[in-house]
Amino acid sequence: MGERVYLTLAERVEFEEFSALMKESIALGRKMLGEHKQKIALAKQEITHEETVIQKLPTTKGSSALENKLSFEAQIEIPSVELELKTQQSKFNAKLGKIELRNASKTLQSDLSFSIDSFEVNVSKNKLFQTIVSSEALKESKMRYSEQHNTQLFRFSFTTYLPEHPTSRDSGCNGHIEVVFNSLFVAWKPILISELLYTVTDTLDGSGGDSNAQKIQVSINDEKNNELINHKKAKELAKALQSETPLEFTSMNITIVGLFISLYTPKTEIEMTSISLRNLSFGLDSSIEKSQIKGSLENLIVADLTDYPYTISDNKELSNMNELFSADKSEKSILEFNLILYPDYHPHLVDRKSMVARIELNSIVVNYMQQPVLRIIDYATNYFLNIDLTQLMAPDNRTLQQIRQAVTNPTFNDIKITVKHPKIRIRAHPSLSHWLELDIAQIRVENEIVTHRKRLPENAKSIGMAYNECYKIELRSAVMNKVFRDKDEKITVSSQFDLVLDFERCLFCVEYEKLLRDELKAKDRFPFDDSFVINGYLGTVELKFNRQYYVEVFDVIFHNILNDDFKDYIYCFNPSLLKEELPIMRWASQDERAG
Amino acid sequence: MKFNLLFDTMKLTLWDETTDLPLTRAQVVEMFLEFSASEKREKLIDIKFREVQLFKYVNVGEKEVSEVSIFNVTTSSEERSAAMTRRRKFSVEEGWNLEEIPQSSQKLEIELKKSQQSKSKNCKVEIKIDELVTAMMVELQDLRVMVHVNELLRILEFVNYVPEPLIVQDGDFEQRLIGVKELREPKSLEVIVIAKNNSICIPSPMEHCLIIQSTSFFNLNR
Repeated sequence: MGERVYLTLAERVEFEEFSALMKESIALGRKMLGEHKQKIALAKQEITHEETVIQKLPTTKGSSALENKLSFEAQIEIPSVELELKTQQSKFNAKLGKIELRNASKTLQSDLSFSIDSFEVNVSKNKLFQTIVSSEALKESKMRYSEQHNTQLFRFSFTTYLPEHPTSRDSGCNGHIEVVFNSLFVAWKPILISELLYTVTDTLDGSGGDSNAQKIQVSINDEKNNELINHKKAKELAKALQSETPLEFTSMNITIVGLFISLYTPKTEIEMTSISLRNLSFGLDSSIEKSQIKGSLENLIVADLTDYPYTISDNKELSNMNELFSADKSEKSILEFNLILYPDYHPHLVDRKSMVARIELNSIVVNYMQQPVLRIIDYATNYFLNIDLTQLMAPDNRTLQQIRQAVTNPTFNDIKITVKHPKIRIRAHPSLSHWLELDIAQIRVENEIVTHRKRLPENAKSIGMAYNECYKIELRSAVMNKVFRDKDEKITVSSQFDLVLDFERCLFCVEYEKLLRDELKAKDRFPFDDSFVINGYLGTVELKFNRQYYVEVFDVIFHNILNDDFKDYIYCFNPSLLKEELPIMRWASQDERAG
Repeated sequence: MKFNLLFDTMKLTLWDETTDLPLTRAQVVEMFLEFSASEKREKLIDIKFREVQLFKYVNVGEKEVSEVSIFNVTTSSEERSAAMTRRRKFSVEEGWNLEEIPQSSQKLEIELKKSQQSKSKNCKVEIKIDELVTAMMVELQDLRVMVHVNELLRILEFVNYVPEPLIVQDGDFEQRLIGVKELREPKSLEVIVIAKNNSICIPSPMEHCLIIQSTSFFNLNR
């Protein structure tokens, strides 16, 4: 029992016939033997399940087809690996559990697989030992996850097919990648994360040997090379599109079972928010013409762990967890997306749009609590989103000529987002079993590229027209209800209304600023208008309140919107704090990178 | 950042459960809100209204009410008179709905239509916020108020509610609160209200009634 059975069948039909025959025999056997039912069920599983390795031969009946025989197999197993990175203040230690590398070469395909059983990053700073990334639930976290023990954190398998392989010949697929991440837990301690990222990028940067002038020269050479490569690729693509044969592509499936991030305040290190992302899976098909990413996310939960409105000042036991963002329990997936990325040199780009994104959000529920929500946004903008990894890896060393080129022939994105049945709940106190709910039938967001000179100074000649991105946001059939959780009852307190918002932002702000500074020698901070412009229209709306609802609305306004827990001294986030904590080497260099 | 928002019509109806009738309806027509924030940390909020009205409702039959305007600021005098003298009738429907009973009053409708072409705004609110001062300026032109004392007192009673502050169970919270309050920068508040060409009418069951015409100015500095 349990030994692998290798079968070689010449035709798919033969395999199907064989498996049907086996199933029949098993059914007959089960009848005859009776008491051996269990064993036979197991045997059936063995045959029909993945344990039966079918080495299928080409579907064509030609005798010249090659046999896909195993020619070479290698397997490497490393019990564990430890990496250590020392900075002036901290010591980072990364531990990787059992690593397995397997390679099998066959006549028509080669398989490469790589797996890591566990992963952990520990930091030792000021004699304090902390875990910031782990494949196991973090002990110091207040969140209790139901996730089971991770048997394997990461698995990567890559199969390449030779042109003679039936998969490659029939569909054009020349390779397939399968990546699975199991549950990963991250303690986002901004000072430590920033220190780690800067140290790693500095190390990768080649210890900063190149001068600025050298870097610019390298970037000019790179661009020339890129131009040549793109020119060659454009020719290849045009030829491939003309030939009308299926293009070769590589497919990739990525699954992230769970990603759990806890956001900590800097210095005081209070766990303030948890972000749980479950079952994100997407497939990527990449060819010379385009890359297509299609996927879905089962659930995303953002929870406040500060016990608002009785906001904690230290990491004491959690008495109340407030979910701020989640999906309606009845929905299969919260997010579905389809992205198509075309290369800039594609000959048939429509309106110079190189990315087409279609995103659909289903039944999201937002529990609005003013202070925690604003604090999370503040945290994300100061300690999360401003860590620009691309900027860290390759700072902007473009010359004015390169910038001018980038601005004169740009490509854009085509984005359409649909949010179905979102609900925004607002209540005076998180413990209340009734609340006001804004129920919106649909939100549609669409972008459009608009060109005008309104933002530019009149005397500017280096820029003909400024590109602006305009988002049209439509809220359709919104209605406000009062909802009672216990009674499962809804009372409508407003008429149905629509809201339309137009949001405009200027594209290429950095580029325009550099060009205008060069042209006008302007010393002021903002040589052009880069502000966001929002225009909105709200249709007729009527609210109906009796005294009780009136009182409740005022309670909501006072205790939620206007409430101040006076804990901003802990939960106010200063981006310069990350810079202050950076290694001294950083201070010596006049680098003004965002932290 | 610049934020412009146009509200078509906003109505807030307060229902008196003791009589099962609407107590009042506040109505704002064509409210234009303009918000801008500059790099110098200055915020400017500009609100303009085409019409602000407050109504009371009188029971005129079973499940039938008549609407009476008791506070009115509109763009033109014709509309103001028309809106003030108009007595619309509504039937009270299930779920606190008022369904208008159509009446023929062509003269009033023509006057209302004419005045809708006017684009001027007689009610403006301007709020300027910078690091040290919050200044608020309210300008009302051609204000018309019918002082129905009983109704105004009942509305006042209805809306008079200030929520209790949340009880904080943190022992040393008070101490920290004092510290936080001390750290906050002092900020001055300046409120100016100008109401030009007001007519305040005290209705009477007699043939004559008292109308006070004035231009008022109110200034608060804190």
